[in-house]
Amino acid sequence: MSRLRCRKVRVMLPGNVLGGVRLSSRDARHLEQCLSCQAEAAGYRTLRKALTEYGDEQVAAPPWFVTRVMSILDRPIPATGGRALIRVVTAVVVAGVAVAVWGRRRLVS
Amino acid sequence: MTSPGVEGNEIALVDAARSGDVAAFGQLVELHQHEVFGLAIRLVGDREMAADVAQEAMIRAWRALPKFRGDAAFSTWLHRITVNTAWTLRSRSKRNSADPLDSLGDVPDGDWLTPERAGETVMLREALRKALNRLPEVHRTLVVLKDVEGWTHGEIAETLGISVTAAKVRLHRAHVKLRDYLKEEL
Repeated sequence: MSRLRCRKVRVMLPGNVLGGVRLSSRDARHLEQCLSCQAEAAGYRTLRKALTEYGDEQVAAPPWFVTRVMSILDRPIPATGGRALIRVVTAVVVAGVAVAVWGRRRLVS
Repeated sequence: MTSPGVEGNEIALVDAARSGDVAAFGQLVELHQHEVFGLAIRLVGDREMAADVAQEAMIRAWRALPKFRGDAAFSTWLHRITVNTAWTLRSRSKRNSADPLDSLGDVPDGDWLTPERAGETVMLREALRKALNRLPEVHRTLVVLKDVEGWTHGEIAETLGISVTAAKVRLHRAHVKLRDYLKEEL
C-alpha cells in the first residue's frame, strides 16, 4: 500500500463519511484494499452513529423555564449605560447649582 | 415540520410581539423553549448553564424583536441568537466541565429499543458527550451546528463571523479530534 495514498485517503475520510463527499475511484479502490484506512473509516462511522444518536435525544426545557423568562420580561428594563450617565450628569448639575446658590447667599449675608 | 396553520399562527404571534405584546411573546417562548434549550445544552454541555443561555437568548430576542425583519424564519433567527448567547456566556464563565451523567436530565426512557440497542445507544451518547466536552469551544460549536443541528457551512460562517472556508477547515480538524477522543472514551 502506498503511504502517500493512505495519507490522501485519510484526509478525505471525515468529509467522505460525515459530509457525503465522494472519494475518487482511485481512492475508493485503495480503501477497499487497505485495512489500515478501513480501520480509520470505521472510526468515523462510529462517530457518525454517535452524532446521530446524540441528535435524536429528546431534550426538554425545565418546567419553570417559561415562567422565569416571563417574570424577567415583566420587570422594568434596568437603566442602560446611557440612561445612567444622564442621571449622574443631572445629579452633578443639580448639586453644583445648589452649592452655587448656597455660596452666593453666604457672600451676600 | 411545521404545518401551515401553525406557521401562520407563529407569524401572527411574531407580529404581535414585535409591537410589544408580551403575551404573544410568551406563546413564542412556550413554542420554542425545548428546541432553544436543546441547542443550548448541546453547545455548552451543562444543564444549568444551558438554562441561563436559553433564558438570556429569549430576553435578547424580545429586546431585538423590533429589528427582526422576517428575512429568515423566526426559529432560525432565535437559534442564531442562542448560538451567540452561548458564546458570550461561556466566555464569561469558568465552568467548562460538566458531569456528563447529569447533563441531560429529561431523557426519554427509550422503551422502543431492545435492551442491547438501548445500552449501546446510552454508551455511545455518553462517550460522545465526554468527547465533545474535550473539544475546544469553537470546534464543539461547529460540530453541534453542522452534524447535529444540520446547519449549512454558509449559515455557520455567517453566525460565527468566519469565512466558509475557515468553517470547513475547522470542522475537518474538529472531526479528526472528535474521532480520536471518542475512540478513547469508548
